[in-house]
Amino acid sequence: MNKKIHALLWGAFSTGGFVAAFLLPSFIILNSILFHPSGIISSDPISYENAIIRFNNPLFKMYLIVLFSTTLIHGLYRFKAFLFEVGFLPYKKPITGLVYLIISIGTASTLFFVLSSLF
Amino acid sequence: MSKEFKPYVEKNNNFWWLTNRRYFTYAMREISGLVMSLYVLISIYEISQLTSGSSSFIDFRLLAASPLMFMFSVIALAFTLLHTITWFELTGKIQKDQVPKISGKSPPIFALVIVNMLILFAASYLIYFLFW
Repeated sequence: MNKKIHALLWGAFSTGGFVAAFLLPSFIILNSILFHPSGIISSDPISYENAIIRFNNPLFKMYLIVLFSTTLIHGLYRFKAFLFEVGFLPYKKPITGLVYLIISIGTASTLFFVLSSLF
Repeated sequence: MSKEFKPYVEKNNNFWWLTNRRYFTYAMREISGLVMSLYVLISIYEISQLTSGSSSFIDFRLLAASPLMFMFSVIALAFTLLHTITWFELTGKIQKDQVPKISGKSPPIFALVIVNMLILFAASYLIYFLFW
């Protein structure tokens, strides 16, 4: 692989690791556990009205784009490397293609849904 | 009489990561990447339902209220925290040579992990304050 492309991919991987380490735990706790829809604590922050207000915040949009895209890059790239260590190395090319396809679809979907509400 | 000896070819053991605790922790750290990605893909679906209107979003929330989804969220959080702690340990090994030395010695890695955890708590509170 071209050294520059490889270096860019490693940079994206590293950024994803940093973002996932600092931003993902709080997102999971706030979005899925603390304010659970069952209303264990309070489901009000995740009601449709509050979710729309939060979603329309430009800072929140940037936060989602960065969080989702970099976590996908880091997580899937890491899992791909692990698969090669547990016997799937003969299938390197299709696995790599599938991983990059999922990353591309995930990132494109995030950009589409987050930015489409601007228009 | 001479004997011919075949070269020894070690058999691949794809379950090497189950042979000791350190390998197992390493494997769980790598698998955390898959779990985090699955959670993000579900969140992207949630965003798509949010942009589709209140009825779609409410349908998703009913799904999210199920015990299975809640369990998955807890498991995703556990794997994410494993990733976080191991990431801080990894970056601590790099940071210890970059931060100012105290009495000519680099700070211990666990101290840098604690500093990173404090930054994590601060960042988490900031996100809660800004968006929730």
